[in-house]
Amino acid sequence: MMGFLCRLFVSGVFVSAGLLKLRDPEAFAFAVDAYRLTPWVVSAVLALYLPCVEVLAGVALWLRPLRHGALTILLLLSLAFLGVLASALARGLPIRCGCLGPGFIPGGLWGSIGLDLVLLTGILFLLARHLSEFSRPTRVQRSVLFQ
Amino acid sequence: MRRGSRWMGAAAGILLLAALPAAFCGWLHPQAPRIPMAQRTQIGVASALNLAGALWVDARPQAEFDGGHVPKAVALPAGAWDTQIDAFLDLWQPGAPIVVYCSSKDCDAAELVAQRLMRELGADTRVYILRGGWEAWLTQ
Repeated sequence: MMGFLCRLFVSGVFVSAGLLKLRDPEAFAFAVDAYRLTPWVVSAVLALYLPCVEVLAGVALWLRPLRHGALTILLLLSLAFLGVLASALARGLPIRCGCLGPGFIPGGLWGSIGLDLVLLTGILFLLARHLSEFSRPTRVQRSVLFQ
Repeated sequence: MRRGSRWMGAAAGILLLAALPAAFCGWLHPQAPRIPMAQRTQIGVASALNLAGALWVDARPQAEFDGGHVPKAVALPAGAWDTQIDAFLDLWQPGAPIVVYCSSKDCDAAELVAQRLMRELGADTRVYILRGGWEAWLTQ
């Protein structure tokens, strides 16, 4: 039950964030560009590509064979977002996160970092559960072991 | 080992698959970012000075603006859009031409700000880029 709720939360946030950004990719490209980490061409390509990755990985969380791969991608995305947000804070950039497209996250960049940390915790929890399931012997392995 | 390669394959598959809708989105979405950014009309200093009621926009970082700027220009660096746009809107009369400049002919901040102004204010807004930027203004 806990795993289901956690997956629902993580998947829901990433899928809705991706869809919100895809409604207006140009606005998201400007949001990415405002971080001043990438040239315009890279910001524009990222603005088209990242939301698609978010939506696909969020949906793939519900497909068992793809779950581990999706969790790995979401983990790397969350870590990258955390790094980018921290660098914006460190440089004192007066910008909005852009994490949910036109959606508003209270608390500015700090609020966005908080949301990212909550997501990161959820992803790590799901990853730990998934890995523990993997380390358990399968039914076939058990039958071989106890023969 | 086989499981490890399976999830790596799944992750790579998701990343590759995402390129497809992204490419379609870039091709067909009406709000897709333009790559490369469309060039705005460039204008020389003398012609810009003749534009009646033009509002000058300084796209350079705030520190450079504070060091000197075109008289009555408003600071609107791309990185401080959210905090500075209200000051711009207070001064801009709808329909008035806008002249955007950055530090020199090699900078792209003016292009970025001009692109965004066109998007936010409407495609029919007259937005010009000052040819040569602040350097050209100093040598006029």
